[in-house]
Amino acid sequence: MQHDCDSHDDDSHRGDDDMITCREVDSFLDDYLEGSLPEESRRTFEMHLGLCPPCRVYMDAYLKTAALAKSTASGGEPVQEEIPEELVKAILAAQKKSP
Amino acid sequence: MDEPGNGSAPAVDPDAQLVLDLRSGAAGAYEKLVRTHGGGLLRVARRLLRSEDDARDAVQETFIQVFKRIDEFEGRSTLKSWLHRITVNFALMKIRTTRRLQEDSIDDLLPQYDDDGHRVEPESGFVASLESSLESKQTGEIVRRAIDQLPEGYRVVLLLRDIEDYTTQETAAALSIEEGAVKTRLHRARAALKTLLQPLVTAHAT
Repeated sequence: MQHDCDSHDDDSHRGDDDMITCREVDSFLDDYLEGSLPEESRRTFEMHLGLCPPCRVYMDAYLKTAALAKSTASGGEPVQEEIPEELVKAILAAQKKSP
Repeated sequence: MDEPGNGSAPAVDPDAQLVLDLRSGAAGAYEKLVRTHGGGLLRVARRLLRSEDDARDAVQETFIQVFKRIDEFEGRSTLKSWLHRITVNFALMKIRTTRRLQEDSIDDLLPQYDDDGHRVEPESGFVASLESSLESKQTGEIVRRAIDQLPEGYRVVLLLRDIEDYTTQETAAALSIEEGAVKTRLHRARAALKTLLQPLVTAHAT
């Protein structure tokens, strides 16, 4: 299923250094989001996004996924967990045995 | 003119005092260290290791190492950070010895393209974020389960970069891989996680 992406419809752009494919967008996505793309590459990247709604949607979902992953670091888990007593005892016992 | 005195000593960082106590061999210091930080370290180990026994082993090894090496702690990071890193290292050692870090393919979870590089998958996007339709505790559990489904080599990179906040350089060093490999794996892990979460988001948005 192809999408209507204006960045690819015109064959005259094929091989044009100023146009990139959706595949290339994905490969540079993290660099773009981190702000580490060179200026010209950033412009090319944003030109594609402007012409390609599926890539815009994909990037939005990708960003939300990364945010969800980060949110699991503290969300939904108890902030302060007790260490099980049997583990405390095992650690203290091992410490007594070690030289 | 005399300066007014309030009679109170400056507050001492509890962990800094704990380090002093450990070095001096003060009674109860080691147990205090274990009880204060053990829970947090166990949570970190559980994230990385899928086995409760392995997670507890990693925590136990951490404290054994700390007991032996407390004089090496230079205070450039917090005590908590230092403990954290040691636990992560033990967990990664365990992962490396029990399984290969890239045994399963992730290709089926990645975006597909046609020969011209067009995206071919239907992009419905995240109609609504999970948080808007589910309680955060449920969301966290769903996301954690999805992360657990990722192939090991990708799962570990995602955990270190996105959850443990390791830099690319630190992740590469911890896993003994190139920084470029870290970036590639992180991207693929995030893309695969999106694929895994997509049906859940779409279902809850309707």
